[in-house]
Amino acid sequence: MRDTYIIGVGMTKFGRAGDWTLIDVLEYAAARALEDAGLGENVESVFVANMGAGILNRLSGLGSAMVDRLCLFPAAAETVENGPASGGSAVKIGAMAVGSGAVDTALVVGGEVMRAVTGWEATDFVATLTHPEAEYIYGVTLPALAGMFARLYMDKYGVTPEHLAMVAIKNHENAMKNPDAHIQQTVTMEGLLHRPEAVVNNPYVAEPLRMFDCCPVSDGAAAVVLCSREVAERSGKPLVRIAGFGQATDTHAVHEREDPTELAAVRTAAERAFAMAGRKPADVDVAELHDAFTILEIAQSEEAGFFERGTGHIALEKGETRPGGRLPINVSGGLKARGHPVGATGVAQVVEIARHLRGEAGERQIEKPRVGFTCNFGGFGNNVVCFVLEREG
Amino acid sequence: MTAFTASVCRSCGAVAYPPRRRCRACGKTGSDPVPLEGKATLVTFTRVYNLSLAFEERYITVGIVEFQSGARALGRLAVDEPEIGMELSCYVAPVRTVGYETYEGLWFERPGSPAA
Amino acid sequence: MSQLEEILRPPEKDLPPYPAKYIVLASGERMVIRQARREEVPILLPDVAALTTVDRDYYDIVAARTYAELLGWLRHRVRDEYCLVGLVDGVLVGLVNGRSLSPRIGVSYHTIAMRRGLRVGAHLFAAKMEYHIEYLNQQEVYIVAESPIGFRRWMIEYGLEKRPQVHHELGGVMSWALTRDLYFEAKDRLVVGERPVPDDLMEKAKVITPVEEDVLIKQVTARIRQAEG
Ligand SMILES: [Zn+2]
Repeated sequence: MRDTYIIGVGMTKFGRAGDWTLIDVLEYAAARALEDAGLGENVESVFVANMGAGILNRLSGLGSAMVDRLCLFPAAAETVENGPASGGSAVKIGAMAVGSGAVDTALVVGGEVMRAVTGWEATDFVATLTHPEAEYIYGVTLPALAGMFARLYMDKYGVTPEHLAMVAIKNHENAMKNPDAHIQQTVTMEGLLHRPEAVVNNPYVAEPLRMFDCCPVSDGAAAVVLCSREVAERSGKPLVRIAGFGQATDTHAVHEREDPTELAAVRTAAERAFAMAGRKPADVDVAELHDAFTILEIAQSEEAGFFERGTGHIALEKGETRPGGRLPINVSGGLKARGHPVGATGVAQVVEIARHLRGEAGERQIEKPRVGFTCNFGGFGNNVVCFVLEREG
Repeated sequence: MTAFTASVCRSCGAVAYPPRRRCRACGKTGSDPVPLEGKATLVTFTRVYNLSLAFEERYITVGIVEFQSGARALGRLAVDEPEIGMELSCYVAPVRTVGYETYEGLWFERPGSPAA
Repeated sequence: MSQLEEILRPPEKDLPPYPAKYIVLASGERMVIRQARREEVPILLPDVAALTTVDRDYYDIVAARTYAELLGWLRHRVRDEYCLVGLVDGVLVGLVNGRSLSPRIGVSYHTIAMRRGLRVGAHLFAAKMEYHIEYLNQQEVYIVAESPIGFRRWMIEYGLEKRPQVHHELGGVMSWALTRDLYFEAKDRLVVGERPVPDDLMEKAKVITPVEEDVLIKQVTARIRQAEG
């Protein structure tokens, strides 16, 4: 397979779409990425990542709608639905399309408008990805699965509520430097856990996880333009290469997993991405992990191979995952504070890393990174897509 | 005894719930149903707030249990203060109403509790 | 006062004061909750008016009605009304209002959070219930919900009782009630804050600083379109 490069990135701010429709939101991000790529309307293939348009917005056929809105005729187009990993999947499929030589250019845009419904309807919508007979009918939500995971994980490795809060505090702080982040608000250990007010400030959502352990419900979109090396070189843009991708799956019902504290699909997806890139976790300078719940940032940082199992929270405590630390994680604010429009997230992670590798991350720029990593976590870990991205030259 | 069944692989004896036609352990096809019954042990649990509109409770308690057969299942807990590793017994009762449809599911309680 | 005005005005009665308290928010900021004085209503009205343009989460209905209620209080057309404000460094972050219907019964009017994501509305609503039950010593508080957020929060978190026979003053929709028992049952997990408010903090909360309109709209809508102007 030949190499695939990222020559255009764009996204909306994450937050509330207001009077913007899903198509408006997707269009905005896509137009930004196309403009950034400087290819004009010459894109051969379009992949739109989205999870909930059918349920939340009563829309289907987003791929065709996108081509129409952007006048990209007669580009090929399709919609990619893979739960919260839709974005990662679409970027992967785009990279396969370019990598195979089938096309030289592809636009990948992921987006979601979830605020069209109330918060608990949005939570219920996401819950439709759980096992219908063995999980969903019980009222199980994603926070519930994360809560059951967190209880075991925290017991086993000595992770405390304070460690979880540290993830939230770090990511909220990071988001203050990201103008595209949904939440622009710092939080403190005192207010989240240590004051008596914490029972109201930060109530349980699914014990032991509290409100500030969970990502917000967001609207927004993110897009990348992918191309062959030839096109990338002509563009004059910094060369950011998709060095490796990896995807892996796990059981639909979480209870079927032998060790319920393991995220096997994250481990395998990361291993595959590193193997394809010919890199190892220690080579990574900046990472975006899928912190839909604070516990997941810690667990994924171990499963992806950055820290020994059971030590992710210690690295966090030492500040190793802060900007300026050994491996800055979620400099964008992560899902926790940048927000999580489900179909957009996997693409937004790639956008963030590409910006850092290009040196275009503004105030939050990590110093001269060469290698970046993303992990987009679908279901409760039943479908995971990871990327290794590299700066050339 | 519950109306819920797991499956046992005819080739290797692996138990699966929800039942599987093709075995996850050995990859062979062909299984027999086996009831989910008997004592179970609590593996993990959570109290869930922020429920869907189908629920009027402030929270519900759900957990994952392991039956003596090795089958695991998720269900509602009718236990005030659950503890990991506690022994539970199983019964079937309504868990959720979607539209006009009421779904039954697995409930777990302390053995000897008056069944709901 | 003209004779006609005397007829139009409800009888004046001073409600027992709500002693100010402060709450440390998730952000670490200290929010003072105190009773607003009638003469402070003109400071509150422009912010409330600004929110009547926000259809998101029913801010428009809630703000339009609150505007009328506060104006009614200012101009002596609502009986036994009160308003509690939430202030961070003197800046308005939210308000709640209601009135005393009788010595036994309180009526909850509205809750407006002007900053979101920090549970300002939850804290203020709790303070309102605290006022009715613990300071006005009422037996129950009638409540209705206009927004789904309000409904979910108040009805489920407090476990309110239905009062289908009650015609709440806000348009005859389904009424609910917070009883003394329900209040004390929920108090530990829903009603927080410390008294007395330290002098330095109270000093800053003496004068209400309204929020600038564009800042306010941005705070409550979090619109993604604003990023690109
Ligand atoms: Zn088998």
